[in-house]
Amino acid sequence: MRQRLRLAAVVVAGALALSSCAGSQGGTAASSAPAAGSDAASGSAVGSQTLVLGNAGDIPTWDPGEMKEGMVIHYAEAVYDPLLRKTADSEIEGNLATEFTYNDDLTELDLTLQEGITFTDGQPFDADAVKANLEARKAGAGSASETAKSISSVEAVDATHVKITLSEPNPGLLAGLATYTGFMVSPASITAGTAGTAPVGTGPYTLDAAATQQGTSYQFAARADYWNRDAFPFGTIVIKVIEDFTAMFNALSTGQVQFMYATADLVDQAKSAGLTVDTVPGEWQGIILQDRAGTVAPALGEVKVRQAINYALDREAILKTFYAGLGQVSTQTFNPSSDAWVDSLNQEYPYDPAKAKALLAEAGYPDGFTLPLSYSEGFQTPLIPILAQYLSEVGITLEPISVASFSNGGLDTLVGAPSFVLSFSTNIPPWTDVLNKLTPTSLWNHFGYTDDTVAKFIADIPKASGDEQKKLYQDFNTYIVEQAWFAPIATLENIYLSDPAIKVTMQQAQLVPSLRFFAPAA
Amino acid sequence: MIRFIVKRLLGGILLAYVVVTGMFFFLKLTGTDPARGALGLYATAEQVATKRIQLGLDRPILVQYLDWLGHAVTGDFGVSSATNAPVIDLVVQSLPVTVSLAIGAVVVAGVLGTLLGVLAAVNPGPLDKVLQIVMVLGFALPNFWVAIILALKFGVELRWFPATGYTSFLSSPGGWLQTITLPVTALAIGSIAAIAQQLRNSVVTVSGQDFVRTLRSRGLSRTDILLTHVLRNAAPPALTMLSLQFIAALSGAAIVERVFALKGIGSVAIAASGASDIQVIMGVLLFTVLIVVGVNLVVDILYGALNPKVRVR
Repeated sequence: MRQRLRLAAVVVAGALALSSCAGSQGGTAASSAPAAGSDAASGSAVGSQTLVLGNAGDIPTWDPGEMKEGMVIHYAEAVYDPLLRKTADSEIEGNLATEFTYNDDLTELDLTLQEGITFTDGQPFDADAVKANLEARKAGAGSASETAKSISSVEAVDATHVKITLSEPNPGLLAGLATYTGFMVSPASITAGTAGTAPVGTGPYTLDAAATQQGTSYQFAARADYWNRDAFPFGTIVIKVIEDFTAMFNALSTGQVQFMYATADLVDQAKSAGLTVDTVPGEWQGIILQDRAGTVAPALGEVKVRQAINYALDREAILKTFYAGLGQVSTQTFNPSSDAWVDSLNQEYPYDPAKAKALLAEAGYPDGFTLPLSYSEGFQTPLIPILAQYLSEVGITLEPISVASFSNGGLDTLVGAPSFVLSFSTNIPPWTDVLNKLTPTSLWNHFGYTDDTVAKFIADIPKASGDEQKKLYQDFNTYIVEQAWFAPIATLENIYLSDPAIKVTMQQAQLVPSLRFFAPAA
Repeated sequence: MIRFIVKRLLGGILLAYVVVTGMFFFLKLTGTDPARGALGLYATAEQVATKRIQLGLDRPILVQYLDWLGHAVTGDFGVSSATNAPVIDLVVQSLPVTVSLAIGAVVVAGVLGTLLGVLAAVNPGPLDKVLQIVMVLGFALPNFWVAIILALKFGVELRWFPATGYTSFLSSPGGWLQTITLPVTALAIGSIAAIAQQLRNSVVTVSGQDFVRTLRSRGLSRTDILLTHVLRNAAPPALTMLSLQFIAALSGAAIVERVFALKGIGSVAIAASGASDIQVIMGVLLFTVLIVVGVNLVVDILYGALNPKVRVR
């Protein structure tokens, strides 16, 4: 029953969100939604409707331990259940594990598992399966391995109880268990080494290999005996791989797909084509001033210089002209709905070229300096002349260095780059962001720069919880903004387009909403 | 004739070998790391090192080359380092798409190009001028731009053809025709212009030659002269152009495939280079080179058939 109430609540929230941002639904539609939601919840038969999702990327592997985050979550969620799951607001709730409790010093997590669930190969889902999965995740090379690092041991207490022991508290663990770290694969396929090629999970769908063409289109058939059938109303899911945004938009406007993650330039066209446009705050874009010790670009070693760069940017103007106003100006790099966000911080660096010049002079650069700035050839190219213009007004000469691709091996080209422009995800919990870019070993902190204050925050936050932790996050964020580790421009809205025949509930801090948040329009 | 074909065939194989070998060492020189490409950003240095050993990348480059070549000769092109899929499967799935487009474009371009070229050549004056302007325009339009316009107009707006996707010929010939019409049109437009332009010029040149005047003085009809004598002599340069257009269509297909979301050899190659997937890049390259060599061989044979003098060379 709690399940159904929750579902209804999600539907209401979704309806409200839809009616408020898309404007396509009136108040009456929103208030009638709960009834529709409970109808759907009480029907136990598998729906006959098909959901066709557009996806810009293929799924190179079915092993969650090797997956790299992003839109591949739709493939994974079709076949695998996570131990926990995220609500639309990115709160954590039970899923395959119904209860989860930490000990006092946050180093042991006890899970209680559902009974009577089996993998599609007939293997039981139990504590041993959880143990096998978490150990495999730890050994994998995908993004889940980052979260799993802190797991020191997994103990199957009995068939339905698992104890996870951590080497140190990890504020990102629960969110990880709700996605890639927690996706449960049949232990038999892990042992056999086939997890990457043939998905065997407990999930709501199975891969229909006969109707699938690898790299082009993947079809999934609903499992009639699935334990949480009501949460997944579609009988068939199809994921079509379309790399090009324009091609995907053409497919969406002719009904070949029903949902896509889109770019700002498609919004007007989408509205006139009668498509539903939804947005959720997502990525921040701006400059990572990573040579904070000034090893390659001595000027960046001066905090006043980094602050000057922040004062030199007219964020309002850039947001309006370059980003079509789809987002909010920002000086911080965390998710607006996360614990770390501090609204008032956005007033920290108003556009003030005079102040920027004064700071540069104080730092010993009255005549400015040359700033090497790397950027990704392609979508960031048009931003470069804009940045160059603003920086030149305060005497900083931009030396743009184009990088063909930031993906995979391309990352190596940023090692040693004093600064670079990036579009960067923001997460809930904010610990993921801390790990991504603020620790000395972070992927996006190539110089490994840190200081005592930062080290203390990184040590203290995992041990804290509740309001105390929230305050630490906010102080950390404030410190980073004051120290100007970054020159953010804006937190942008992620844009999603969908066919009016389906209803999508937006989810905070995830690149695309989970499969559970898709339903046929009432 | 058989001697000629065998000679050309051996030449083609040698060419393919040289190109593929060059590419193998070139890819190694660029420093792309298939191990890092396959594992991604989160993999530790140790995991990358283990993967390198698994992929055999720790061996001397010459050993890697001989190993690759030895397997390729026996029809084993290895597995993709990013997805573990056999390279041959990827090629077999995607090649028909690209070849459908390239052959389709060349057939359309050959037929329409010949018609337009001859029409322009035998109708000096305003028609020739108009056709020439149209031809230059057609040649100047980038095919990705044409593809986008076609997709928007006939795919999205009028909905005469699917905006994206590909149906294989075997599963539905009608569906196949529907899905390749727009991409083939986009690819063919430039080629039609090129072939028409070439043929028009050579027909005009040949028509001005002495032997044509002699034929005309003997009272042969204009159509007879055109079809049996002029075209036979004017065709070889156009044929060369046609084979060049096939190669152009093959490379242009990569972009057109993207616009229409077709999983052809082009998109396989793009995805593979993003993941530093050298096995796949090499497989795609080898098959592409073999096709190009094969087409050149066919053209050479046709050349020989049209003009016996070529065979003696």
